[in-house]
Amino acid sequence: MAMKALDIYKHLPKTNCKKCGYPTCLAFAMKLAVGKAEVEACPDLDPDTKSLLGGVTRPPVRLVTIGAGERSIAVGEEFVLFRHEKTFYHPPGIMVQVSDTWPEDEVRSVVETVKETVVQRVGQDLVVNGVAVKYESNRPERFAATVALAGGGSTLPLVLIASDPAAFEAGLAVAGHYRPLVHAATEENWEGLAALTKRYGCPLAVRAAGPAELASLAGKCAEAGTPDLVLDPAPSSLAGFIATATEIRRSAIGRTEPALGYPLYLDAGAFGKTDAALAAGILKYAGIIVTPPLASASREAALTLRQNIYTDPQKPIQVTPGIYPINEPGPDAPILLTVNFSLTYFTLLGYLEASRIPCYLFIADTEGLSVLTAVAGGKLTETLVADSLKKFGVADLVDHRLLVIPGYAAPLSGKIEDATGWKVLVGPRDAADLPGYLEKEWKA
Amino acid sequence: MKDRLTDSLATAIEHGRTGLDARMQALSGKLAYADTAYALPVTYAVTGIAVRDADGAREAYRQSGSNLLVACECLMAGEGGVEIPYTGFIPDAVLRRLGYTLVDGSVTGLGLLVGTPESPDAAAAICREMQEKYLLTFLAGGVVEALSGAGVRLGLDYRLVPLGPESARGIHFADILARVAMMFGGVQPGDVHSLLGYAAERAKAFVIAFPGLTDEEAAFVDALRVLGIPILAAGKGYEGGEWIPVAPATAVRTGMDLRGIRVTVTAIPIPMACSPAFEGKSIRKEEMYVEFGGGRTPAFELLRMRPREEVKDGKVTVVGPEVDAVPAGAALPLAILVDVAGARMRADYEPVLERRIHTFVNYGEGSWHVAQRDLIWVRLSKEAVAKGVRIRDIGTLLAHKLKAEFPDHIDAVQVTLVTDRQKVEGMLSEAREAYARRDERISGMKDEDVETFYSCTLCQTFAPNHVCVITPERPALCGAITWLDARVAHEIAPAGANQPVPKGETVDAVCGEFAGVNRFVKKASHGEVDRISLYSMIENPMTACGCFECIAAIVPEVNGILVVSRDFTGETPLGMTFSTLAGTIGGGAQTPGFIGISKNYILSDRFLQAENGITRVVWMPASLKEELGDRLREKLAALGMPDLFAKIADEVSAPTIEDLVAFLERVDHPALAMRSLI
Amino acid sequence: MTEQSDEGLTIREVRLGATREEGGTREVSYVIGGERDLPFSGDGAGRPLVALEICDDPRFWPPVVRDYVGDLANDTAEWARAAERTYGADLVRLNFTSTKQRGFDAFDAIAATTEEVLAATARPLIVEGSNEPELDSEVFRRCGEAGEGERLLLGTAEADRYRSVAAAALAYGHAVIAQSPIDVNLAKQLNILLRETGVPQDRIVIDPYAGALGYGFEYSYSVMERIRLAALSGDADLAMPMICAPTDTLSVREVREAAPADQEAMAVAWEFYTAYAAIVAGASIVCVRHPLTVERLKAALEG
Repeated sequence: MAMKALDIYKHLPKTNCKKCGYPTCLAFAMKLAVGKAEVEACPDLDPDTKSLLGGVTRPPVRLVTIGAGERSIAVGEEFVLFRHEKTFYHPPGIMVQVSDTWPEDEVRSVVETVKETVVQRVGQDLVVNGVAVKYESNRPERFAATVALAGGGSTLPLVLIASDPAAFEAGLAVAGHYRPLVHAATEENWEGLAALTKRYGCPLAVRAAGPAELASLAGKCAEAGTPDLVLDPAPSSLAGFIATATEIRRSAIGRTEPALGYPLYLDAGAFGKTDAALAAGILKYAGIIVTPPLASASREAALTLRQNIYTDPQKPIQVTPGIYPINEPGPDAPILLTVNFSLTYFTLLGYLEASRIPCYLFIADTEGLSVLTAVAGGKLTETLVADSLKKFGVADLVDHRLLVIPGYAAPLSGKIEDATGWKVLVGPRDAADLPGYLEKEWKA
Repeated sequence: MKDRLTDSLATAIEHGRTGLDARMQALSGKLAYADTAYALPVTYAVTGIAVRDADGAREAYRQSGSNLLVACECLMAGEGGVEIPYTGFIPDAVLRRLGYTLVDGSVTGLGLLVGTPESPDAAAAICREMQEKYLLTFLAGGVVEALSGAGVRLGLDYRLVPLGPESARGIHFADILARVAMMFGGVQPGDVHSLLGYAAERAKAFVIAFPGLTDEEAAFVDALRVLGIPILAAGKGYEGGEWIPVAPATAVRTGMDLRGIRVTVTAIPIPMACSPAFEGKSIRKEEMYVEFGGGRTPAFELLRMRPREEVKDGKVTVVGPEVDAVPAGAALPLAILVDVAGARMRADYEPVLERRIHTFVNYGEGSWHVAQRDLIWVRLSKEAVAKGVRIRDIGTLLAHKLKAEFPDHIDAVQVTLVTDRQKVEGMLSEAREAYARRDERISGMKDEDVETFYSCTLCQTFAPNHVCVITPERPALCGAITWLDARVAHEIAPAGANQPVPKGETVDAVCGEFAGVNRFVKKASHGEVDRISLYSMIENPMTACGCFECIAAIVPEVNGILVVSRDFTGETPLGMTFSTLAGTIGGGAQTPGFIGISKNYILSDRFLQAENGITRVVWMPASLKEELGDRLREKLAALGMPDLFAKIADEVSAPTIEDLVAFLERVDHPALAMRSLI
Repeated sequence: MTEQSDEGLTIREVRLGATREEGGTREVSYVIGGERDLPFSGDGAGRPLVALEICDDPRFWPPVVRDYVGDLANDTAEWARAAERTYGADLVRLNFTSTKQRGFDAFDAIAATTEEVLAATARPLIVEGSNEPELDSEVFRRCGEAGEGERLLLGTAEADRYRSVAAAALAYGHAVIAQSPIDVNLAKQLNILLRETGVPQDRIVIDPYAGALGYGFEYSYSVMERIRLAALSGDADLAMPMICAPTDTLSVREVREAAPADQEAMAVAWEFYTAYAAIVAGASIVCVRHPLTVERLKAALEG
């Protein structure tokens, strides 16, 4: 188990020297307790204390970076088994696999798609992260050429999948300085590969069936000087992956087996059901998912699922405050006030779009709180509404001065009228009733 | 005279019993009802015996302890059917539909009318009222013909079911109850205990007896009482005994009250709209027709629990001038006196219900209310008064809303609105006494006085394993729910987020650790939290959700505690802001050295008593200190430390930890000399 | 009486459908529930069921499905038959969308359609009754009565709207779907309310309310995990199997505004990812509307 802040504090120098960057030792202890600070930041700890505190405060799953530059990804550094317990922090990298036996055009087209395709949702740009190059040609120079074709690691993070040391040598000669993930060290070849990845400073995937075997192999590789590991449990079925991944994550979180504290690797193409495997990997602890090229529908659904699952449940996605036209509104369209809690926004959006009623959704910044909470917590106030009306230039959009507010905000109606000079209409509490309400009540 | 009358019903019942007994002995042949899987249902439910013939009937009668309902049923099964329009025995298939309407709430209760009414019109009025109240009514005896004669339409579609021409056919009422209990209530044949329980709790029924029952019929009707069914005598001949005499005009209301049958009324008969949508509308001075209180006139509101007989439900009285007697812009005094009665009402609920007056008055379109008790300020708008709204309508609104929102606790409400200055002033002192008594009751309440605390798990939506334990001296950490509030909330919604927490054995009186609380928390936190201390921030402190009003945090450098409130945005001497601290300790975790608390808890005797309570507090933001102000000074004075108030630092006197150390040394804060916290 | 223990619990088994021996006319009945651990932990619980949703008034149905099923949409019984025989659904979920129209009063048609669909199918049936609270009483009585003995799964009970469904379940021996808005404690409260009404606990299936993928689905996913964890750690009031029916999935922008050539693929992908994730979170029944999703899900769940 992790140590509580107060217990950690007892081991600190209690000098409030601020050299760690925090104003007090207690503040530093609290950051350590949640895995958000490094013990190394304290210059005055003796090695024993450092190692003791490091053991209990280091993230239970190691953060491993793959690739370099803008598109590089960091996976791991997770703290919980279920997202509701806190949150999942680092979404898995999805890597599209190409083979070095493919014609150049085909490889180039896949790489282009990975590079260029961006799905925009709720203010985030969602991308498939990188390319996995598989060695099937039996010709190391061809492998190296395909790696180069995939950008050589300088643009997209890469996974190099092979079994022949010569292939790795050739591939790393091209991409070795861009931290590609090398897949995979096994019981048979780990010594050579560990030495190779140590030389290039690359992350290494280790592959073995079962947690115990993985732990032993990972321990040996780490010992040999490759600290950045990824574990491939070599599952024989998708259900098997879910079960093993859960077991490994549980050991890592519980700190019962430090050698299992690494991100996991999943080959989503291994079972002939790529969509299911992608979903399972996203949901159950994969850090790196290698997949065959995806059709656009699968890609969009998978990226959306990944975004959903890696949303902080205690801090919901916020919608950017502003004025959102829906169904091509004109100057007589209603202005509908709401909050920037994403679920509220999406729910309203769904009903309003389906209703075909032209309107403006007027989103005030309640820091992501729902209407009920924002009203109760004093985040949605007449001042906020008045300021937001001005800021977003709402008055210029319409030729009326009527504002429809959510039913739960009814207690504010009088104050909003006073503060804005707009006439307030109190809408329903439930988004589902809004189209009906507008049909009946709205007359600009 | 009285004795003879008392004797008369009892004697009649005794005669009836003898007669029924004799007929049971003489009974012969096969006995059966058509289209049922429950044989003779009452007999089957009571004894578990599926009777087929007279011998079986006698055996079941014996086993039932000579239950007259069993006797009547067996005897009825031996007789022939009835002619249309009478239904006689109701087949299972039809009954299933009737039972369905009872479970699904489209029928609120069941009534049986027997005998022959003296006035057919009065009986017709009763039936109309029963229909209006969504009761399903069965009829047996002369009442059927009387109603037909009065032009009342009968049949299932009208929720008036004529069982038969003789009152004895009313026995089918009992077999209906028995079958509903077996079909819908999971009552097993022969399980009398659960049958009685079902009849008492779920199948809300009552009987209205008109005159003219034979002795045997009177005996049978009387026997229904074992099912918890009250018998209302609407007419002469049944005086004394256990039957309740009623005037026909009040019979339905009495029956519904006795069985707790309620109909939710949605439309309130006042000339103004009433909806939460109007809650936030204020009435400006120029829009106002008349106002009450607010400093211009004396005004107060008081909700009191009264015995049922002193409350005439729905009655609204205005004492003094109505609003149309004064010119626009005038001010009148006002007393809002709300009297409530209810079998499950308790004096403790008075303040909680009284607080709803504010909300309900604001629901009116054109009525406005602020503050509480003797500080209220009420306005009616010009627009509303022009539409005919009077102060009387506020009374009607309150009576309806209170009953509608608290149906389980309020059976009757009457409202008196006094606008006569002298009378209002005269009543003010009584009201103030009532407020003082209440305050005393809450403030005087100690954790050791109660055996049960309450939980709150509302925040589990965001903090999955957080369990708030609310005690009389430790309000919920959001500050919104006191122990009394939680108790009322539990009474009103027994399956809701506030559950009783039995204290159980005391594990540590100083830390406030209780075995029962630990058991509860372990379960409610889904096994995540084993132990909590209610009065300590170091030893197994309570988890924190995220809604806490304040955070109490340890300041190890000075061996003290600081308290920071949500509204303070600057850094504390710990080098962390409220929101940084909140982000680290929230989410339902236990973080020794840090807890979320309500403001009022700071003033409690139980405030972190394991860590020396308030005397350990070394820092608070100035705004919090000011808010607690006099109450905190009073508290410290009572502890014999009147100078401690000035020794608590704030963001001006001690913005950083270094400043805090210096400040506390300068003022010689007692925390510096206390035992170490860690 | 909350029956709770500190020991881990097994999720209650709920039987759906009744064979001739069980008093109905189904060729098979299903038992869902029975898990003792998280999904895919190899505890031997049965494969999750895939239900195909159909409706009695296709005006209220996603165009992408109407386009695919064609004329079937106008013949509810044939649509149901195809759902089982052609599309391979484990069971059908019949939605009475006709109750959405203003002034609906065709209650006889509710009974008739229920009977026709029962006659056209051989497997257990889920019936989603009224869409309007005012219609509940009559609609649930009709479909409950029409399905007497068949152990339908009737939906949907909600906290302020459960009496008619409960009454139909009690009167005619059906199971009920209990839906609460994405909240563990509200799910629990509703189960308690149903129990107090008399509905046996082994006839309740929890619907924690499913938002569409990308539109709040993460809340549903987590609440399902939480319900399952609470049940396994001993909370008997939550130890029921779960059903997931994200009704808005095919109305989201991604599907609605997809290029015509991609629309079908997008619809199926959106339904598939949602349903599969729900299964990983613990759902015993997932409901989808596009016939092609049924096939894809069943393939994913094999082996």
